Amino acid sequence: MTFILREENLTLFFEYLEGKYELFAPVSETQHEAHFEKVAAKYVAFNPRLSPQGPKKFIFPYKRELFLGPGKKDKALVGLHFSDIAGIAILDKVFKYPIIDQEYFDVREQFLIVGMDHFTAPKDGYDLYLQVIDDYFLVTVGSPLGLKLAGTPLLIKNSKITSEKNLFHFDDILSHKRLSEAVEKSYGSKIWDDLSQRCFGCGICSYVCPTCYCFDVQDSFDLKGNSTRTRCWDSCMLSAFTEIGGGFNFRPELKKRIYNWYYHKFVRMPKEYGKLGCVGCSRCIVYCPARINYLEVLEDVVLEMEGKRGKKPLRVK
Amino acid sequence: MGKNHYELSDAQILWIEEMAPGKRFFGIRFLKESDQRKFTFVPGQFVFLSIPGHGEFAVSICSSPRKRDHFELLVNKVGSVTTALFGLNVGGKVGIRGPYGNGFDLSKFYDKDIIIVAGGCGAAPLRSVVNTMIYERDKYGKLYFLYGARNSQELLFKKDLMDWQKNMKVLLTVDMSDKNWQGETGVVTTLFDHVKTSKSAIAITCGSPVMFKFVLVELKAKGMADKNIYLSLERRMKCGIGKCQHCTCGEKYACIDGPVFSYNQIKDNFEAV
Repeated sequence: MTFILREENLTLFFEYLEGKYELFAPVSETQHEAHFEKVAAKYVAFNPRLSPQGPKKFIFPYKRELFLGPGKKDKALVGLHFSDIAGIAILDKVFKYPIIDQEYFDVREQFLIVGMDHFTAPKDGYDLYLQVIDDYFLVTVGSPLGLKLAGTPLLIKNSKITSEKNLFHFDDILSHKRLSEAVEKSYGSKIWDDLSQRCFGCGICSYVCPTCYCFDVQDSFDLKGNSTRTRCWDSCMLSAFTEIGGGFNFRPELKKRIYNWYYHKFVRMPKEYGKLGCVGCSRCIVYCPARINYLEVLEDVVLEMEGKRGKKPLRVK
Repeated sequence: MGKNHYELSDAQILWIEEMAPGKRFFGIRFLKESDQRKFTFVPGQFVFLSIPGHGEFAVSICSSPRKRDHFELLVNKVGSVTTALFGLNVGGKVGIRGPYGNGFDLSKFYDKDIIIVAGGCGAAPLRSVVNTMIYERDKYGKLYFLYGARNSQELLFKKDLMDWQKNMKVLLTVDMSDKNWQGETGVVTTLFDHVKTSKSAIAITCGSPVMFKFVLVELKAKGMADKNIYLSLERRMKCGIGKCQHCTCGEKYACIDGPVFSYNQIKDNFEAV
């Protein structure tokens, strides 16, 4: 079901939402980046800039005590790009199947998700999605709550305009039919040895990635002797990730950890959830201190499988 | 609203036995009668034991599920949580959640000869298997328990090892002999010379990653089919529900696809064994 929202009504629409929810949107202080912050409705507009951290830090916080339970749905993440909504859809699937992780949903369900981007609406992961088109927005409903909120006169029921086909286009290598197969078959390839010479093992890629969700659970005491158990982000790139009590480590070498990161996103997640563990947001490329471009690595891996390494590129750079 | 898998049930320590340096054998019972009554598991499954404030660790249940009034754990003191546990006395309170993991389906082993190969603390989950099999001994063929430890002090469950001899062949070895040790010396694979089983025998093994490599060589040399060899793998575990990624081996999660795997499930897995 779609609606039309006229451009001049954008602020009024977000003021309407602000009446029910605290709004968090990407705002820019510099020309290069955006950061998600609590904002007043009048500041909500389409912001094309990349934020180092997408909505992941809200729906899957860096650190959260366990057993706090659910809360009221009183916050809204607005202005999310297509790839960030895809990231939310993936995390929602991961934490539900095969066994539900209720701690995730206790937080997730506190947020209304409102996307805003030029692309045709994604399949899921949002309550409302505003496709930016000239002087209006084509609003798609993504959930029963979204439908309820669409009952404002600011949104005009649409039956004439079909979604302008501006489908989100993955980089060519991510759409390659044999990508998973290539990564799976590349175990032991020199590509990973070479990469481990460049990679710092810092884990920034996991930090900024919308679909990285490794976590640790740690206990601590306060000065009164009360204990708390906290879930916090972890990264499979870090050296102690697979270390067990007594000191044995199942992945002591950086190249094995790097391979596992690629394997998880491009082999294990497709097998488990039918989707790549990548939304093509390019944050890991922008923020990697070693300037590693995972798309080039994947292209190399596929070319090696096809025996065409160095001969013909598979993607336009 | 789903079940919150991280929630704990209160339990207490019934008894403690010092089995070897740094290795204690605990009897644990849930504080609530209904929790203890409802607690059921399959040999090979594990629980998470919590000492609030210190942390949580995954530990195999080493008693048979047939034992209804309590369950037993063998704990190796290797880090901060296990050290905190060793600081508790009888009556001390712990948090338990579980059971997790797939465990063994013993009905797959009926009418077969079984070779159980344990290394060090790997004997713990295998004890649950053996003590369950003994309840229905006539359902299985020949039973062998091959057990290797570093030295005679490190051989765990000595009382069970004695009792089991009534029902099965128990073969022991130590890496390093001492003046108290009368038995065999050498790695556990040297015991295979004494094993005579049919071609369709089942092997079940648990021990260190190094041990797996050598045991697999021996089992394959005996002509065992990959699908008849079972391994219980250890990994770092945090959630127990296949999310946190700590326990992954290739495409498998040791906490939900395992920790019990048949060798044909993991022989092509680049990091399982």
